[in-house]
Amino acid sequence: MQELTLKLPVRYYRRGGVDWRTGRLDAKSAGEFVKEITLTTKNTAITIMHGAVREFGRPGRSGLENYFSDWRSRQSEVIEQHIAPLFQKARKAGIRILYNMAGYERIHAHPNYTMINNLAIRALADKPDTVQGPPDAAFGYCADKAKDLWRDSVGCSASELSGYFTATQYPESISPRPEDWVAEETVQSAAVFREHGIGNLLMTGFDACGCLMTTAGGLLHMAPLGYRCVIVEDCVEAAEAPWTREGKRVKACMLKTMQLFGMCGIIHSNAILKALEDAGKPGERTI
Amino acid sequence: MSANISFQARYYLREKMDHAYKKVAVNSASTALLLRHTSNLGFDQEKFKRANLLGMDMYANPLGAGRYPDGHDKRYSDLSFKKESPYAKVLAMFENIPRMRKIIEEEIVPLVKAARKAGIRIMYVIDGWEAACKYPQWHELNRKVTALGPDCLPHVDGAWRKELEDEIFMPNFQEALAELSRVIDIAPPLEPLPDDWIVTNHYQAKYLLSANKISDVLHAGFDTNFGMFYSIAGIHRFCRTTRNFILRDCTTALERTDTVQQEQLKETSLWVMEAALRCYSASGKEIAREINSPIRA
Repeated sequence: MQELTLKLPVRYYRRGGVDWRTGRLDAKSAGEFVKEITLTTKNTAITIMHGAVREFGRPGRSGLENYFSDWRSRQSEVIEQHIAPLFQKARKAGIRILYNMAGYERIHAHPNYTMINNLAIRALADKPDTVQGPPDAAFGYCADKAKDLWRDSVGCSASELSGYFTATQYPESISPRPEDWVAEETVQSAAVFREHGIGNLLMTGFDACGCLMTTAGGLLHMAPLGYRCVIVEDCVEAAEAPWTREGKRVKACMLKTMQLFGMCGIIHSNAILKALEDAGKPGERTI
Repeated sequence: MSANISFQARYYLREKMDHAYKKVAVNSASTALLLRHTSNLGFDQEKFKRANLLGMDMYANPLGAGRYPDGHDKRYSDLSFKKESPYAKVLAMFENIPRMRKIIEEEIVPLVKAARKAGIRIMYVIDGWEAACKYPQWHELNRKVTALGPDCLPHVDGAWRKELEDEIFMPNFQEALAELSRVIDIAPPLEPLPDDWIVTNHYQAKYLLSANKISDVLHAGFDTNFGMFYSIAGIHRFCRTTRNFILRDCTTALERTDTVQQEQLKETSLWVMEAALRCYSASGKEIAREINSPIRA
């Protein structure tokens, strides 16, 4: 497939400085700005964190419906209206998609899993152990206390909660294809990207206040490895409180924080679709 | 020494989709107070002024209440940068320095004093600074627990990053930050005692917590939205191990021009830690008051 050059208008945040006479940020030097970055369909991948939809239907736990029904409806909207069209166009243009599936059992059934895991094993073959610290199991003595908040907040433990989900599968519109990549560890993602010369990641998925940032393969794992990460703002969603739902303040603040610390840029999927369209026009430069 | 301390904890009740409160009790022998990035940035005003660092009094604003006499232990960092120094530019990017100093002086110092009195262990997290090397207890720990970190994973060429950082932070940002990290240390009024713990990553923190059977951790420090949340010893690393309490009045976030007015990034980060990361939040002032209460005394 022909390699296309994409010019993407990415939003970054310039930290600027403080005017210590007032103790206030200098609004002239600080703020969001757009920077055009150039990348190609070959050196770029789209990642999706935890895109499977969990149906919450087990009887007896209706008290949690408020929290999950709100979340689920917004997630479905993002998937169908934003992620699915992006995947469709990106696949046509030859951009590869990696599914971050940490915690999903079905990952092992994907035809590419073994290949990717072998790449990861090879990448680590000559490296020393990364840490010498105690495993979480060493905290068995305070297991009851550690579960306290879940009992207070959710009414059961995290593992019990997963039992109340009746299904965990990707909607048809974004389900992984045999040629896609799947990963559950950061090293798996990094190994397959290195193998294919990929250094730019367009990140989508769920949720912006948790796994998208902190789970293996998420922003905070990939950015320190040198990847240029761009979050596709309309293809991510976050849990919200009733008082933050208007304007999706939690999602907005999480993205603003990452911009502020220089971890990522932000883009709307429409801008990527437009860049793909422009790159595909006759006479446009390809490499 | 062991004492039971009870205080009010806040959490997010998903069923009601609102905050809820409950009284909890911790035992000082199984509790640690974790101070994250409680640095000397913003302290030592005399040196700043003498060096004409920023060409003005950095603490002329009302947030900068409180001063420390000059000439304290020279072990603490020397922030006497030249006016044109890149350090000065780096410092100017941390708009929360005055807030951090105020919180250290007014909230964290009294809490640490009370915690020591009750027998609560103090742990300093200072990842990213070289200052850890100055403390003998860190060397001893580092011999036992080392973290080689992400260097072991396949990297890609991140040359683009320098160009971006020059633009969004300042020219030669990493070099300036590296220089700064050499002189940052723990804030003077929070000077560690020989038996305090100094850690530079969560592996070391967890080693000490589990070896000492610590089950409750009180989290204070900066920044609410990054260091406390996401760093190598960030709170998300602890949410599967201990019971965690974020001290709402002992932390502040680095804010932006569009969030600083209402400290939105701090408030949102607190909510996310309560609702998604399985943490309680509490008031450091209340805990200190409880420890110092006449009945207990």
